[in-house]
Amino acid sequence: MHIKFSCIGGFANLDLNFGIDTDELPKEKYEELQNLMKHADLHNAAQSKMVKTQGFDSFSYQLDIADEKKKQSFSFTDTTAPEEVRPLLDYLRNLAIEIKLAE
Amino acid sequence: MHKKGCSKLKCQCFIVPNYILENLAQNEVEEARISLAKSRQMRRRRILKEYDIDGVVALTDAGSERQGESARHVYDCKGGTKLRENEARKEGDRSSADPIVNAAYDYSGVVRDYFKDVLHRNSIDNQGLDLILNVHYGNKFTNAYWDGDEMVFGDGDGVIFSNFANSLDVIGHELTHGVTQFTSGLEYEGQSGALNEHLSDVFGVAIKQFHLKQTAGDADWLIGADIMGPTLKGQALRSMKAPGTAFDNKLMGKDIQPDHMKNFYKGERDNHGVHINSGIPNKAFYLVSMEIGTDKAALIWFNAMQNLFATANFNQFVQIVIKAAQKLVDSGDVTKTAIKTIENAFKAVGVPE
Repeated sequence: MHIKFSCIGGFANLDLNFGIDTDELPKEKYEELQNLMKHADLHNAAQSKMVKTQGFDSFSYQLDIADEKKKQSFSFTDTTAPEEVRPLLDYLRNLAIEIKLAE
Repeated sequence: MHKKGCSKLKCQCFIVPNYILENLAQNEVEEARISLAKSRQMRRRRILKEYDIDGVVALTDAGSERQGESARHVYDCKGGTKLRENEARKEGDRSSADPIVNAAYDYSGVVRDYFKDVLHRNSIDNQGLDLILNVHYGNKFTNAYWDGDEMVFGDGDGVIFSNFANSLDVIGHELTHGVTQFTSGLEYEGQSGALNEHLSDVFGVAIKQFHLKQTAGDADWLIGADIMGPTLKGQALRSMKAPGTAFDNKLMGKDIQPDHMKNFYKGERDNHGVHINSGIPNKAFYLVSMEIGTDKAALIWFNAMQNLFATANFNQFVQIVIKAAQKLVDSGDVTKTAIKTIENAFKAVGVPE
């Protein structure tokens, strides 16, 4: 599965993004990500439909997930993200920071 | 205007074109100003498919019957993402064992008292709305935001950013977003969005300077310097004195805030540069403050803020600031030279175009 993630804006106006093949992640990280994605229940989350920023200084997230069968896109902000999706966004944002600092 | 059977409180009709409303608003027709705010917010909620008509009406019609106590309520999210759970300290409570809870409580009190004692505004909505602050939000959450009802603060990652609640200018900034929501409802996009950000920066620094008893010349004019983590010490998120110089690091890149219209950011990111182009009016505010003092400049800006309308751009903003200043000159609250100072400051940053 390929994941493309971006986290833009916020009080600090960050511009974080990365793309990864989940198979390339270390086993521990892969399992954690799988669990968070399961908890997020993205298939039932609203699919990306040009959601505009709601809230002030909130992050805007874009998440694209693709496997052999399909590709799905999701857009959230800190204020519009469903409760169950937020831990996944936390994880991906922290991973984006880790990747950017390691570049 | 209202259809039969349609409650006036629930139904909001927007039949007058926006450009006419803008002209009326600029000529101080209060109903047009409020109508613009409602119309834009209704549109935004339609895009989001949230038909919360009551909420839209409440944004600009702070009910005259409602009178709160502007009490502070600090909630501890404990690393989770649920808001208003685990109240850690409310108005009048003793200090908490948690210094971040105390910082949120104390700094929001400083901001609330500044608006009330200096600018005579009773909390965010001028009706004594309670202040809700959620701290320790999320896992290493590197942000703070105003969600339309309450403030949310992350702990930062402890390396790049420290705790976002531990800063007076950050709390002043977020709370001012609430004040803007209840005054002009400035649209959070493009130039009006940059003005929204600008006003939050203005009162963030003005309140900090007031609290620290600093003059414009003493102050550092930095936003977010207190929340930079150990690896970014000495940097900040924005400089009102010298936009474009606040940071240069691996995570954030180089600060690209312009200090003049000739470098206006025209890209799409950040809602068309709301945190970027705010550097232009920020610099103008700094220049005015250096001439007449931050307290007088903030007074003028606060009066202008209440006459702004939702879609105002930079050129319209200057006219509204000058009108606000003229009224304060007439009432003897600021000196006559303030008008020329404001014109010169905006001219220095290329506004009006």
